[in-house]
Amino acid sequence: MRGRRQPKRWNLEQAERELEKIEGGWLNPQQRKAVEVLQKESLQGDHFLLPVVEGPPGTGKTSTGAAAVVKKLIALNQSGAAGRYLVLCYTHVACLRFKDVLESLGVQPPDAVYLKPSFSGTPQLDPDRGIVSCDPYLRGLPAHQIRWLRRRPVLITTLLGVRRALSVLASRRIYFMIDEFSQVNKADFFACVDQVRGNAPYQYSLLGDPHQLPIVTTQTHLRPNIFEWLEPRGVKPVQLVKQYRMHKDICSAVNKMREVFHSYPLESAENVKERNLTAMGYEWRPPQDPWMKKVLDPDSPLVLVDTSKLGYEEVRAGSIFFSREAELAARIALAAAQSYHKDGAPLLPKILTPYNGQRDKIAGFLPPALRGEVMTIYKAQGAEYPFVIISFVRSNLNRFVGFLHESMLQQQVYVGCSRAQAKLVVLMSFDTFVEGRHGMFVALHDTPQAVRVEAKP
Amino acid sequence: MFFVSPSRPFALSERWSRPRGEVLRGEVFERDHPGFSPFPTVALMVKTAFCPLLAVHEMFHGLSSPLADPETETRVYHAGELFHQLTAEIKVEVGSGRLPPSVDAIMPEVLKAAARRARQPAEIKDVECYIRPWIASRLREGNLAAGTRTLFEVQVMGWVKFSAGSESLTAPLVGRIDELDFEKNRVVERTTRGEKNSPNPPLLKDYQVWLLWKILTSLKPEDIPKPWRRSYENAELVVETPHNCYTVPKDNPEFEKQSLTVLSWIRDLAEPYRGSLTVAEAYKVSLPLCRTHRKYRECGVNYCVRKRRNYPRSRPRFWEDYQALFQEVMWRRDLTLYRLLCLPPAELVQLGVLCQGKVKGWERGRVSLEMDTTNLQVFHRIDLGEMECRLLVGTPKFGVEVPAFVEEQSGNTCRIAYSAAKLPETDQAFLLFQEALVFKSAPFFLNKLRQRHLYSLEKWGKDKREEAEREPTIQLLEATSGGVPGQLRSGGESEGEKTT
Repeated sequence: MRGRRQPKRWNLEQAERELEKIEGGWLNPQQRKAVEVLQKESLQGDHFLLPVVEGPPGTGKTSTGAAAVVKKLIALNQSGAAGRYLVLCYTHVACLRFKDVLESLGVQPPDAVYLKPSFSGTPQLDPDRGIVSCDPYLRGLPAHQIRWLRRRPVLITTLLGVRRALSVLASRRIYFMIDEFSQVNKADFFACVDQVRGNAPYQYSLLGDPHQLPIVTTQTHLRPNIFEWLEPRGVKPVQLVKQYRMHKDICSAVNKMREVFHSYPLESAENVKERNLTAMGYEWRPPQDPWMKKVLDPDSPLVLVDTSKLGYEEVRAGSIFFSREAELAARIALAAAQSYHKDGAPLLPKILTPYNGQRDKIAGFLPPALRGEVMTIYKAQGAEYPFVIISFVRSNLNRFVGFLHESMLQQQVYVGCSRAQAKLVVLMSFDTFVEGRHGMFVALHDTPQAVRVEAKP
Repeated sequence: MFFVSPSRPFALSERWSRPRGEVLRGEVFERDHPGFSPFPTVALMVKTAFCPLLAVHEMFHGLSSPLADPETETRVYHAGELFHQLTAEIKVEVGSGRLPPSVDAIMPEVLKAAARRARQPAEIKDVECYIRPWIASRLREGNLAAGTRTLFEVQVMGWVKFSAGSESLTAPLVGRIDELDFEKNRVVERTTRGEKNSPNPPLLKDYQVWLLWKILTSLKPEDIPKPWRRSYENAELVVETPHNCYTVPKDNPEFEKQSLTVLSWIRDLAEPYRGSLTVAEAYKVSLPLCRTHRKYRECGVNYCVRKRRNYPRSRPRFWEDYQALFQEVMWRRDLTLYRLLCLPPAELVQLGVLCQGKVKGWERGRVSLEMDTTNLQVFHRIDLGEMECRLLVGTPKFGVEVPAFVEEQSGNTCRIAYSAAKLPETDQAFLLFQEALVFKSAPFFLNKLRQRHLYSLEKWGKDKREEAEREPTIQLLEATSGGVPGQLRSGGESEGEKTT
């Protein structure tokens, strides 16, 4: 039973126009199917529908999720039916991204409210931008602001902030969506279910890529994400296959890695297939050094640099790093910043590594302006960059690669590589990773489109 | 006397498993069961002494309910916390002369302060009915003003030896003393519980204050900061209720014996393989008492004998999740406590557990700390910007700890805002000390929250079929855990296909 019919509550005229445009335009068949499935309610009489959308890197799962939200809101607005959307993302950055996509689809900023914690303890409400910071019990927010919040059709918050959203919603019925389920394990999922059960969701839905990085935990039992728990129970997701992020050469490396997961291959969209750095508008001034020129060449989007001859990794105070590989990564980044420019500004490549020790080491070789570009792969999850350099660090006689060999943590390789849009340079010791037959690295190494070069000692 | 005196689940071993050196130094990959026994709190000891099922609920189901008020048989959650904050504030304000010593003058101020902090209006009413008699009885005793040599909410931890007959066991223990009066050498445990005309202190409160005193007496002089260093062997142990004050005798063999049993339960529950057997044993020992007698008036939870609903017919099993979440808490919280207890401060800084700063400036609620390069590196590594940290004045074994967050950092100085309202006398502490410690609070409480929700979901359901069929969450649980083919679909099935 739906609530009583009401007049139109939200101004969605622009969203209606945008939705018409995208339904006739950029939505591909899989995305269209996902949007359709996301319109249905979970209680279907003879079965329970838990829509799951599997969106590998760059396939537009957030856009698809947002399009589904917009379509449903328009339907609710027209029918006057009850229902609000509660969207949970794993990080605050992801919340803001979801809100941005909703706004790009014509939803007014105040209608998609992002709820965040208030560290200072004082609540703040910015109705024009649709951003509210408050404590989980909305203490300090005046009654009229709480009433205003309760009328908003979409609330976006983090998994940990769900209490805050429920204080706003009280017992109103909701559509419940989780974006990026790779970061949600069974315990997290059912803990959320317990919290929202009082709101009798019309629909539970999940969006994400099961092969993204697992939850950071000490417990093996807590590592599998909710999809990995549901899959043996018969869940068959709507699979998005067309990616809009990576050059086709980088995508082929990603596909090789997906073979290791026994997952389906991705297709590259026409507009990104041949998109290298020059096609992205970067002006290329080749460096003098022929080795560096080969590494930075925009026509070689995927370059694998063998660092076996540079020596071995070191361990100090529990931290692992490979000094000479760090130095080389920094050199390539500097050379890239000097060789590529767009509108007069240099291109600052992102340098990723799985190890904190190596991150600090690389930063030490860089000038202050570039230090912020070094980060761990975990931190880069969910983002995309034109040019990515990855340092995998491990180099030893035993060909031991530590946690990078663990079935769940080797996804760092997949996630790191799939951050790159037009250029990816990977630094790794072929002797340790490839000769040691570490699956994901062998797959990366065997990518036919890759240009392989040996690091200069 | 204890209300329940359960037998031990298994034979008491004389050893408490401590973390190995390499575990303390962070040289092992943290994974699954940590291989050491948990770090018990005084609160957990008291609850386990009352009923081992309370330990099961606290460790695995995230339920930290305090014992209930026997007069009203209601549980006081946040009101108890408010009561502690407000009573400490009243004592300081009256002691400094900012508030006159009269109920009528104090109550309006108390209600204003309660209104600022209460989550719900009902809490203000709850707290008012405890505070009013508490002020009146303290005025009668002439004990409402705190001197400058009184500390509130002092955290103490140490290795405590318990002996009974030929048995003995040394275990770590951490607790928080509500009030420590250096002038009168009194250790005060305050509570909202307690009947007006009762000749005895509220159930197990005497045991709680005795445990705190045991920790105090286990400390070496160098573990206690200089201004607070003294012998606590002869300290007076007091339980303060809203109506009365009770003095607790220190020489109590019954408490020693009970502590051995309690520690045995806690240790066995945390064991990876024996844990589930011990949980079963706890139910076996405690439930018959719950069923045959009227429900204990002081019991803080009512989940043990809750009826199982008819629907959902099947639901996911959560025992492994409870255990994994608990083990993660052991890695995050208990290992940090072991480190604070066992390692010297310099090593703690090297490990990145905490950093130390010199107090450069102080105003109420804010302190500026200056740090050297090593400490500053740790400070950055802790990544305090996103999270609440803890500010500790004193030593980890004897100090005043308050929640805080970093407001500003420039150069080697950082300004930290701390919750002065929670701990009024911290301000005095800053005058005594030139150094303060900062560390990140591991977000272990999130695991407790997850456990709590999983347990709540496990117990929830409907009895009527029609209601259950209309309830999406029940259908979700049935579909994801039931064995009916095709009941769960997710949109990716081809036309006409049914999942199995």
